[in-house]
Amino acid sequence: MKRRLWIGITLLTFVLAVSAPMVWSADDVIILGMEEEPESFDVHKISGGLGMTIGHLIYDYLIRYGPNGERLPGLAETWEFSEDATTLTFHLRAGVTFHDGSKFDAAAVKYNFDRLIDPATGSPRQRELSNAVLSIETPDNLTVIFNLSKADVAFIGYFVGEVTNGAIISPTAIEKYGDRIGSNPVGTGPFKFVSWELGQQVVLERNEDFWGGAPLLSQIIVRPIPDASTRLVELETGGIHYLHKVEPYQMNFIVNNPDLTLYAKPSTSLYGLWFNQNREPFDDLNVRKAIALAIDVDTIVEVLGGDAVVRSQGPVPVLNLGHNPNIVEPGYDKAEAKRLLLNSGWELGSDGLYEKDGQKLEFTLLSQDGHYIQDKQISEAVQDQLKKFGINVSLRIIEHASFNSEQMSGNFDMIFLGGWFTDADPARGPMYLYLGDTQYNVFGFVDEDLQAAFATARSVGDFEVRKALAWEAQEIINDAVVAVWLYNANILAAATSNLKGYEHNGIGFLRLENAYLAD
Amino acid sequence: MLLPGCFEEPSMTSYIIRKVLIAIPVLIAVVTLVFLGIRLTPGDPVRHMLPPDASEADVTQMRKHLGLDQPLLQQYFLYWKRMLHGDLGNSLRTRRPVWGELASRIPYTAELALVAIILSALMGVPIGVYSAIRQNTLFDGVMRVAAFIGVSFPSFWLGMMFILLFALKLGWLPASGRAGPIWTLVGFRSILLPALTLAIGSAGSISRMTRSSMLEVIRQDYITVAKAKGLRESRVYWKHSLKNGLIPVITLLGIQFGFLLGGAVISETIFAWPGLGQLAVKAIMFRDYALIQGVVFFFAISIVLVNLLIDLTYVFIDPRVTTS
Amino acid sequence: MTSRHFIRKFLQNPLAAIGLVLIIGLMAMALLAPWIAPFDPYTQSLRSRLQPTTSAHLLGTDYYGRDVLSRLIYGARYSLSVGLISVLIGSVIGTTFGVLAGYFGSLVDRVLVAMLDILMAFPGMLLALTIVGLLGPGLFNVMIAVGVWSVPIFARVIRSNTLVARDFQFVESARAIGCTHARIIFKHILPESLSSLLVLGTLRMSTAILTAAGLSFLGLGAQPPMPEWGAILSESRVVLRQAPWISVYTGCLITLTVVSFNLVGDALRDLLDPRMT
Repeated sequence: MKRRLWIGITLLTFVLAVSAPMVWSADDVIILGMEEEPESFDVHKISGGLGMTIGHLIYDYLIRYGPNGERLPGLAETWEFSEDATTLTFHLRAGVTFHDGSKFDAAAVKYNFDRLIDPATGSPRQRELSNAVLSIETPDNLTVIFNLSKADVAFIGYFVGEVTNGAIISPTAIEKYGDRIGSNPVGTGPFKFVSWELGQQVVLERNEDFWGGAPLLSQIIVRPIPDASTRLVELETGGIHYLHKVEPYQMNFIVNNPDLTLYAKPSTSLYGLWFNQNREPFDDLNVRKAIALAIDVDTIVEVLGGDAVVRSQGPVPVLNLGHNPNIVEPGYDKAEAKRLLLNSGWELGSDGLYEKDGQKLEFTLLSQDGHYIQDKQISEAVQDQLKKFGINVSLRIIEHASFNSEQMSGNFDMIFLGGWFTDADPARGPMYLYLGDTQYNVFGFVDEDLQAAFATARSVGDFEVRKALAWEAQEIINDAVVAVWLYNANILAAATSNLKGYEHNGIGFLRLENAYLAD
Repeated sequence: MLLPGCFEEPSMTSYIIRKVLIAIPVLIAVVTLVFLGIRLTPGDPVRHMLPPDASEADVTQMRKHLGLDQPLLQQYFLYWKRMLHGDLGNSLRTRRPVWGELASRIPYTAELALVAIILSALMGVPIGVYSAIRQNTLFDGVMRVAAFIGVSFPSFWLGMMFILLFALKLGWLPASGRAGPIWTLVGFRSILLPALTLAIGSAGSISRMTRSSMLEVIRQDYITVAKAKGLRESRVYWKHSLKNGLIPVITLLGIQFGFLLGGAVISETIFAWPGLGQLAVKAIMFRDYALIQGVVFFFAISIVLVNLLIDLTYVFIDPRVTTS
Repeated sequence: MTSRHFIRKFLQNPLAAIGLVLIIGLMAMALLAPWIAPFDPYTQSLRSRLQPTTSAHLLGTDYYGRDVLSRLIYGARYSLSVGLISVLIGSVIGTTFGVLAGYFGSLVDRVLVAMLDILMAFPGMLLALTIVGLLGPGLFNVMIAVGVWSVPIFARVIRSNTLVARDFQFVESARAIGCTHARIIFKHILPESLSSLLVLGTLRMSTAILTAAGLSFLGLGAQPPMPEWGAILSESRVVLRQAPWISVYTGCLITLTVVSFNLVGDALRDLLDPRMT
């Protein structure tokens, strides 16, 4: 009996070892490894996240982004503003059908945007859109006219994929699935939704009738792998072909591995630590400036972010068309920081912490773990530096959905926030964080000169004028130390070296319609 | 040895009935405790469900829809009523029905736990028995040390080391994820590491328990009697000792099941196994009341059922237990 | 047996002796941390991160350039105290329940046993998870969670001890001469359970430390930058490939601690109460 046992064990081991080739897949099926599962594919309701990223394979927008941020025809072939910039007209592409066979036309576009504007849908951009759009007309099958409440040349940014909510979902599908459209997406994109096994994988297949030409891949499988090191191991051992989010410290492994390719592109994103000026003591400019000066941002960003990021320069990403190159951030000067605090009446207590009128200078930093590059780690480093300087910082690290709601309700002292400012227009992009009438201005920062500059910029057609106003706006924001700016992220991804035709871009969406696996 | 059904039959039935009857209030109490516990802690789940700029009217309406504005007692009854109809509410986070979320993941955790139990029994029992037979030899000593250490490892660390060794260095097994049903080769290979990580701690306990239980049995008189009758040594041990030695081991397996369900949380996280453990952690982090209740309820049921099964299994192995 | 006899027998067991020495060593490390740790465990040094053993840093540096050795030494404070406090919570509450159930019997017993069954219905990690989920993350809440989880086990054992002790001759006589219940419990019943308490307490320490580390590993226990061992392991996981030594050292240390408590607990059990499992 013992002998049989041993033979059995040997055989088993042999069988396991021999079946070593890990992945058995056809060469037109690829497997994507993502850091988490998509929350929902109802892109009208979600705010960024993987539902959007993968949604981009399923849905289209009226305008799409080119590899360098240029605006290209999407579901709309052409578009134009009226003279006074209060009307935006789209001329749609003909002959496009949704994955369920229904027709794509002006009525479908109107249906989608009506849904976005309807408060019952709960879209994060609802307020913005309903304030801006007076009405939507569809004079014929292929023409949609948006009547705006005021002249706003920059409004076009809303229609451009793929970071906004304006994806076009099949109205027939919405009628059919109602709230469950989030698990049964139907769009016009290069890939069709097939199935979603919760926690395991999402399967997409080729859309033969895609208006841009059928993709080369027959199937895409999306796997959530929450653990960063496991993700990398999967890529190295062939469990996945593509890794969506590369951590800075993983870059070396990928670069030194001939079977893997690292994709990196600078982006128009901005990450920083924003102050909530509705809360003391952040309503005091001296305090904000002192905190900015007390943190050695250069070292933190350089050491922890490495090649994954580019040090920021002011409140607008460096690559953004409206970036003001003359902006100078506060820098690192602890002596000056101390002086500013003393000016405002803060003194170092016997325990090494600053206090005033019996109150200590301390606050909570709201952050996440792995949602932005090195968010938790940078937060910890900042906490450490400020503690040494004399300010107690507690960290509150929560997961994304909770983080989102805390951010939107302004429930934070300081927040590690970042965003995509893909809109290259100088008058939009990061600017609208500070506009009074959107839900994004949770920072309590209102400046009249700034508002005036915005208002002018939005109604003026001339790019140079808008740019000059944008430069001025940046000066105002920077001087007010609205935030401690950290970095612009590089968009990193990695794939097995036999993946070709993949379009990597600085905006973070996934373009796989021309991708294929070479031998 | 008494054969089941020989006599004492009425008390066997009453034993079974008794056990089942006790299980029910336990379940009710568990669900009630969790229901209360969650409702009474600070934090407002309704805000999490609505878009950020929801008006107060929206919040009130949602609260009404969820029944959260009614007195606690009414909420409680409503919850039971719904549950008996199979409606466990909707996950606050994904808006999908809780039952759906649970049902889709239960098979995977069950799969993992099952394979882990089998693995740990396969490792633990033979080693335990053999150690008992060869008590105080080198084998015994080494195995006891191994078992001992096996129980002491942090399982999360073990998991990480396994990935490094078997997936990265040797390339024998996949690093994560469930590649398919376990009757397929790919699927089977993908369950090995997570199950092994779970099983090792268990195997240690099982081998120690088996060993001590076997040792006790071996000392008993009837073994001597059987030996005197002239049966070959190995048959004596295996046939007579095993049956009696196994009783406490079965209890242990039952307890280990509970331990495994808990350990699955960590194993599932490291290996991205799409099971209940992962779901539970997310639910707790997000304070997804409905989901937390669902998960806890399910775990309670399964534990109680498993315990019940074990109690019932005893009846067939040794009916004497019914009279205790 | 007398204490001296007991101690001698205990120390004759080489494994037990080793375990005891280790435990004393670990506790000493925890107590003397500020004096023996070469660095402050919180001091970051971003420019010297993830270094292997150097002359200054015997066990290297971690993700933020903090000295690993110092963090592990200080970590003993957190990990050991979590174990200790949760076992204390569990044993005090559990003993109370067990004694009450065993001594007074009938209704009290039935109710308490039923409650215990309910608690035992939960797998340990999950019970702890739920409690932490209700209370929120943090080391203190982990202590409560792990403590509560230990209650049924203590209660069960103490209850059976009490049931046995209750029927002893001297207890009956004590009652006959009119001792109050309280006096009987404290003078006669409880002392019978001391050995079980000792064994169980020691054995539970190891599971408590493991469970607490597990919770911290999941992010629900010790919060950064606290150097609790589970939290350190969780941080080191991120850089497992660049700096595997951190997780190896930490994992070994946790295992060593657990092993030493188990060794001592096992030896105690063999000596005092072999029938207890």
